[in-house]
Amino acid sequence: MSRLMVILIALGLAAPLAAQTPPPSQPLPVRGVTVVNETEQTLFAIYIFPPGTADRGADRLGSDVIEAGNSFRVTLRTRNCAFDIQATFADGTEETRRNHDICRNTRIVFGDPDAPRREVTFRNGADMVLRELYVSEAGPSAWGNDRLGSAVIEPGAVFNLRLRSRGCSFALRGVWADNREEVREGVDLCAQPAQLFDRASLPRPQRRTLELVNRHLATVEQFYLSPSSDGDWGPDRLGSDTLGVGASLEIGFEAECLVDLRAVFPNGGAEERREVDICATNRLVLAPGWVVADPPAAEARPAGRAVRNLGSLPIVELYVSAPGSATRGPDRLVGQILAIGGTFDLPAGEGEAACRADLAAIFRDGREALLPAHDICTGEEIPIR
Amino acid sequence: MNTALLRLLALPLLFAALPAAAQPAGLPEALRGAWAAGDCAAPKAVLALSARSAVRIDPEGPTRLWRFAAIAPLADWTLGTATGPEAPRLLLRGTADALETAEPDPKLRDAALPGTPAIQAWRRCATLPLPFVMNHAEGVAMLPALEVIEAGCTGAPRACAEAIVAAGDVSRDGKLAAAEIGRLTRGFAWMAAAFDGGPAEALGAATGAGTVAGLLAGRLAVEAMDYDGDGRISAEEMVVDTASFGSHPGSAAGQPFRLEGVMEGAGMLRGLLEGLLNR
Repeated sequence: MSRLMVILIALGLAAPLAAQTPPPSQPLPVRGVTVVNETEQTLFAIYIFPPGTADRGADRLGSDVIEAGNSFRVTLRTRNCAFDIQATFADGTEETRRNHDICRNTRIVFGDPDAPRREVTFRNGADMVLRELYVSEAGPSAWGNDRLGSAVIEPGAVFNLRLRSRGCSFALRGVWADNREEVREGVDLCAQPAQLFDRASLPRPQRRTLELVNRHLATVEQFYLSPSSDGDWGPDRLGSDTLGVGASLEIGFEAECLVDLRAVFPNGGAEERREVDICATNRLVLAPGWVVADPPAAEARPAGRAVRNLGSLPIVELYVSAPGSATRGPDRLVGQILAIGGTFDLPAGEGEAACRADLAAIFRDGREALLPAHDICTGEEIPIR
Repeated sequence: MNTALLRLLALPLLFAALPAAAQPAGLPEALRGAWAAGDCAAPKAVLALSARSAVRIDPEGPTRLWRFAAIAPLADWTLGTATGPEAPRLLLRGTADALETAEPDPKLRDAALPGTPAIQAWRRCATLPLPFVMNHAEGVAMLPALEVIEAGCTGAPRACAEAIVAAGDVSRDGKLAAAEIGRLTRGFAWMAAAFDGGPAEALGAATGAGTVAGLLAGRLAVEAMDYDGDGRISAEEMVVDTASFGSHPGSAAGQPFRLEGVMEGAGMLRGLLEGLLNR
């Protein structure tokens, strides 16, 4: 019994080995398959591998690609005929043909060779970047990949898209830089090959006005206001104007309630605040602390308080103490100085209960500037001369 | 371009209205000139002193430029207090052959000077490395030239124009040719880079980048203001074409003007050059 088993096992193993292992004297035959790209996209990679194999091997195109409408012949040294053939396209999609017999059929076609080619143009008619574009024959249930790839359509620019399809009806979806979308279904691209995206179908934000008040001791040279959903600051809302110290100005704009704000000063410094609800107010006071406090309600009691050196020399020591206190406490500047024209934010929470404090600033020449029992909660900068 | 250059040339006037301080006496003449830290063939840093300016060029670190608004003796030192938000101070003492400098702690009160600052020793060098000279000589030469302009801009616009011409008139013909205006432009660009605290290579790059802009500025300025057609600009022609000369009579003599203004002027020239090239 055991001898029979050994013989059977030996035969079972020996037979396939005899069929698959050629005599050393016979070279492997050369077989070829021509890959035809009849899709609308560039074919980036071709993998040809035995059916059921996990390892698909190397890309047979190497550094080549197969442009739409072109073909490429792949040669293999093999006795086998059946292979899985997988194509990878420019948009990352893959298509696999199982058990293709390259001995009988030396040509494999991706795409529909009888489908007409179409050239569709997409124009950006808005003043915002169109970030993504989806074109789907199947409809909104299967948008597929972004047709723009890594590109975008700048305002006023045109993007040309090659399509190859027997059908004419497509669903279109454009995604703008502010993440808002325009979707159109049942668009006949055969009859209307020039498409315009201009945000016309999007509801326009409400027209709003905002009174800007400058309570800083420096002119505001530029002021930006943009929707918080937008990644760009947009235009300088002051235009060629500036907002002087103590001045106010009304600006008009279209925006949703949440906006980001940015004020730029003559020395290049800037203050910003994100996600401010401007629907709750029509007045914004730019004062020390406005970047951290609610703009309208904060006007009476802002959280931040800053002193500004309006002297002709740097301030080398700064003291803040309770009114009438016998001691001045520590130097608030620690190891720093307060440069001419510069500001220094008083520590948060200092004097929150009692807004009056004795301020003492020592200039570098030894001169002292004293502000006894000064109200440091007015929300305005405290000038020291 | 014409407006840009006019603004550049008129900057000494435009900024003469800064708060006046006591007229500085100037650094001791024996200390003026170029000094090197370490080996003359490969200096660790170079310090150039003029009457009211000092610039420290460090191949390994940021450049320091002091434009002194006040200079006064302090014990065995000379104390220079420069313009700028921090009004930086520089202590100097020495002879014609050896110099020591020190930068006091910014928090140190004036009454406590000189304190115990770190002292830097400098030596006179007959020559400096050629690459260094090529990169910075034109810019360093602008320091005393600017002082001449500032000293001249104390009264009538005509006198200020003459001071500008005198500072830039290399050929000594009493007028500014295109190349001489180009030299002024490059020098201002170098000073702007130095004032910005850029590294030494940035200063050289500023001068290099200003070469073409300077030439262009010079040529266009001549075209704009050369009324007698001799290819050069005289003080008279400059005054005729510069309305601001009449409206900005200046103030105290010899006060340093803001170098931010120079940067604006140089930036305008660069921007204009790009615009011309990209037409």
